[in-house]
Amino acid sequence: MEDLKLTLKFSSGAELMIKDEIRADAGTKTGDLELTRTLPATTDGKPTIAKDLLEFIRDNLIKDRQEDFYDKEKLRPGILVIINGSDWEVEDGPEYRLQNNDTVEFISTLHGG
Amino acid sequence: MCDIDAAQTPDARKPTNRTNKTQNERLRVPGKCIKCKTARPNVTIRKSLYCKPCFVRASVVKFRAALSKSRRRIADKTTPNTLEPAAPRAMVALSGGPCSSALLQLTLDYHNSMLQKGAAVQSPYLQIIVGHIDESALFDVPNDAVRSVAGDAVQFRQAHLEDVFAVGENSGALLEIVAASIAPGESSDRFRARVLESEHFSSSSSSSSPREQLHRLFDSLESATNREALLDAIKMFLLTKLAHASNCSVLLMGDSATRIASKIVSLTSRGRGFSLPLEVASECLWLDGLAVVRPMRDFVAKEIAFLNRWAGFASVVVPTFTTGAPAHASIDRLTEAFVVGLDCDFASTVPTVCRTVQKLEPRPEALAACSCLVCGLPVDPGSLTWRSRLTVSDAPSSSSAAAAIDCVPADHSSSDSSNNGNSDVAVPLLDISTRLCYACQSVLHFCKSDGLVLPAFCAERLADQTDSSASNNTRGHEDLRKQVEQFLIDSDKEDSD
Repeated sequence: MEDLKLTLKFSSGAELMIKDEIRADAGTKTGDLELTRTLPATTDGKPTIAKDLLEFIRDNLIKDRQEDFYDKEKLRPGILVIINGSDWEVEDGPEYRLQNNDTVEFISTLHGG
Repeated sequence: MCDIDAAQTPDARKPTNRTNKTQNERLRVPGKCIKCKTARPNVTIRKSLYCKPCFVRASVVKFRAALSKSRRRIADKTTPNTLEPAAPRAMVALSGGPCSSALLQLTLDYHNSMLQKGAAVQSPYLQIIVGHIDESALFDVPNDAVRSVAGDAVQFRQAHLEDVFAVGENSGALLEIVAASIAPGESSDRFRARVLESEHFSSSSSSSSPREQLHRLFDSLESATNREALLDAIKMFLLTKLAHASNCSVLLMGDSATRIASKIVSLTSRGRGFSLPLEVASECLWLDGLAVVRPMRDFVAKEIAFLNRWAGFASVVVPTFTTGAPAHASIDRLTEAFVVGLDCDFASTVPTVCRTVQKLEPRPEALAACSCLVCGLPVDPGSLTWRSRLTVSDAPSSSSAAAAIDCVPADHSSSDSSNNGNSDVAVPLLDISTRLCYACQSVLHFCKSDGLVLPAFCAERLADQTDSSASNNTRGHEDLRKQVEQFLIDSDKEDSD
């Protein structure tokens, strides 16, 4: 099975949670951040879902207090997830089965980012 | 942008049609948009599904309805006997963040669409002006980006945070807390202050740039909660001043429902219950000659995020004292995390809190009370006594000595104590404790208040209050007036100098 190539976008303050070196590599120390990452099509023998992506981001991209971002199967309140232009809540939320070339965006609605 | 004519046609206002429409709207087609019932949904708001075009259209209609209601309510209160009150100038408070950016674009969209309809329909406002507070003295703010958010089609007025220490041009004095008496055994906190005249201040060795004074002030406030409280007060003062200077009688604020719900909890926690109804009201007429309106009060933060995205409204990240900090960094941050977290589990938390608090009315004594020197909101007359019953005060090391101080040499300065004995003129100290609201007393209680120089508007408010008190001929206020008299600016004298 092919790997999943995903486009990840962070904006409205969500980009401030990402490690500085990753932002520097992406060439955007400030402002919206866009990354491309590849995930395996299956995780633990099951198709990769949004929940697996959140764990990947928490373990690889978030700079500190990783558990604040995603812990006990709960995303930090105030962070919106948009999958291919739609609210992830209309796309099965954490159970959404990721597809190749999906775009997943994270937007912070918290005051001050 | 969106055409809402259908919602505003006379037919649509007929009760029978409305009833049919409402019943039709209530019918949901599983997995389809709640409005058009045909399109695949793109967002869910409080368990209701919307497609992109229906969501944007519904948001515009909701905003216009909220703005119109606010305008009618203000007109009923200010000009009750006028059928068609004149359209006022309105200032939109723009920080550049998502809420205020959406507010600006929705207001401009409404204003422009009314103008296009010609003379038959009156625009709610005569002119829209943008008011922005530049916070670059404290934060790394992308000011050019904020300017581009506003666009070129609208008048842009800006004030800087450090302007509140710009003594000499428009304001003539600062207020320095010389001795704070915060001691066990005292009946209550006492804050004794003196007025620093502009000439004296600029000639003293403690003179520094407004920006340095601003930094010194915020450095003295040791907690992020207190810094946020004072920053809010300064920004509100500057916005009010900008609005008055631009002849605007309406100030539109971008507080969303999520922000208001969070503010309700945090302001209550900070001891602002007395003025809470004024600070979160849909329309507030507390400020003289200025109506503060919050037309984004029906939008939760998620709606604004999707609206900005789909309507193409640009916004920037506006940093605060707690940007990127954990939830316990300040009371504001903590209450926001609490409210937003609760709203995730119970989708109607925010609207329920907001609807409940909209029913609050300020107490009659609040409307008659004098305004706080720092925040400008009403002072609860019993706040000092109340505080003394609740608060465990600090150790009495320097405060017992401070309590005994009733006057200081004229050139006394907290940062230059070597000058203390060089002057023969003693300046009487003013007890400003009764002119501070409970929450601002708390801010000063928990900071290095000795030698703290407050912004110039505090001295202005003190002068205004003593001025109006003198006209009321109350004995106590007359005494205070005499104390302050020598510091009031005499324009004739200034001209002759």
